[in-house]
Amino acid sequence: MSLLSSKFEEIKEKNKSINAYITFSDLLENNPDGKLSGKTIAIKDTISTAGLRTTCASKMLENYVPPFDAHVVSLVKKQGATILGKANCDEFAMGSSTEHSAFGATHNPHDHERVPGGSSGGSAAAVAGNLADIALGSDTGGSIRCPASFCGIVGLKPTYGLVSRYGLVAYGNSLEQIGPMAKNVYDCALLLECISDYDRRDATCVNGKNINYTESLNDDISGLKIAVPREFFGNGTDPEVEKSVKNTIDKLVSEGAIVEEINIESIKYSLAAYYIIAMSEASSNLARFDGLRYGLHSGKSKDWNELFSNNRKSGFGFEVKRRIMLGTFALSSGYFDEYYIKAQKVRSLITNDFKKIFSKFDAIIGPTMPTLPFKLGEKLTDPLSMYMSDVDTVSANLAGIPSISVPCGYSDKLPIGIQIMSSHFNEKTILNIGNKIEQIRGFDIE
Amino acid sequence: MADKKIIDAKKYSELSKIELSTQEMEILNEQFPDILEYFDLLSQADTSENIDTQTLSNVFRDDIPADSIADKILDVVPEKKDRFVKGPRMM
Repeated sequence: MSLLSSKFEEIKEKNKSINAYITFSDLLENNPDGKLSGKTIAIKDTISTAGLRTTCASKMLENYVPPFDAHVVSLVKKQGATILGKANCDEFAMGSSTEHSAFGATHNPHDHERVPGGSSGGSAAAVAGNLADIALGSDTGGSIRCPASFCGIVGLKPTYGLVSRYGLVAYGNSLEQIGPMAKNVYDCALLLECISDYDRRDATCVNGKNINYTESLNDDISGLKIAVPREFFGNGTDPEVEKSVKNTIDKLVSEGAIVEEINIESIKYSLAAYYIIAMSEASSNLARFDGLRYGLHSGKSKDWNELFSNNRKSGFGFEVKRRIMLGTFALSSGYFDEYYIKAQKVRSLITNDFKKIFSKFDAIIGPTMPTLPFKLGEKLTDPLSMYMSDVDTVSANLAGIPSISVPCGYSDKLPIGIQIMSSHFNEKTILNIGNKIEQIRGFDIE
Repeated sequence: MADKKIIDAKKYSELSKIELSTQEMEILNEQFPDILEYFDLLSQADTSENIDTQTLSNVFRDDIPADSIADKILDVVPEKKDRFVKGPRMM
């Protein structure tokens, strides 16, 4: 333990330049032996940890200490992982760059002037920057895969319902999943295995679908049919990203995969549908933050209307306020059918299109992000430009299908991620393809 | 080109119960039309087919008592009296 303690001091020191962590654990717990023994883990700060401050990167919960562990936290403790602390993120998981945090932005370990991606940017930076072996993030519209791509690590969004959301502070509860982040596919598979245990406290958790992901991990992809949608290489795609991803796809073909370019017409509506649904759900899920039972309480006031409005004014950051208001609008009388219901119908269209594709193909591949990691501050004044970063990731959340991002190359030392999706509960296929990519891509992750 | 939609930031700040500064309202009033214009892309999607969006069913657990964390929950309540959460006046 003394070796870990001195390493812990080094990590705290190194964190000052990256700001991956909001809170460090007071005590490094000696958890029982298990699959994760000897591994240090960072937990995204939207995931509840009993006795350890959980802020969701918000002033609203600046001093909140949860009275319970999230299901996934009790599982990683049971398997012997050592929790080092709570990782920085965009406030209430709303963002793609970890710049919308009340505790300062996280810096990309590959280039400190660039974003690590978001919203699980602290988790990704902790792993990439050697401040943790593995991490847990959450993914509502790409929030695990985006920072995994930008930080050059592996991140997986499980099938909706595979991992319990009990203890995850809700943002878009029909879209999000907690998922593993690690330097390699094996560790990702191992962590997924540990956290995918059924939990009846989450009514959306599905029983009996998890498997032993490390045992099923192999690198045999010959004969696998892979679809490459042209829509994932849209106008905003950086040529370097396109080149790296297509080179990797060519390598998969040399290894026996059968690749075919396709069109998915409905994908062009996915970003709009995602944001309407996510913001609508956010407006409802964040209504609980009124300062009465927990969180920021700004003091006495005339009546409930004034108290709530005042607490929320002081507690929420601007991006959160923007999304709650847009969600309130989309759900309001006169606009509900045109926006919320329409978005849900488009969501069904997209889900059905994916089902048709997976009846013929084993997987879908494309870039995780359309660009290289951008500079801190670059997209802050143009929210729509920030939202557009999610264009390749949101469709997996709408359809509830599993998706992984695996590092496939670099451009000027900036990481590029390739995204692999498959049908519901087919994490095995995306892990295997990811495993193969690790072998053939021509570089290792330090 | 169609007129850009306007969202009245003041109206929705009241509905969301979030008080906004004048500056915040100005910024949002400026940004909302562009965002809404993007959302309006959905109007081009053909959803005329009868799409079933209600695919959920209820999940229940057995009514079995378990350990309570009520004391721990009360610990984080900012203002309380005995085991009650103190709230603001309603009127």
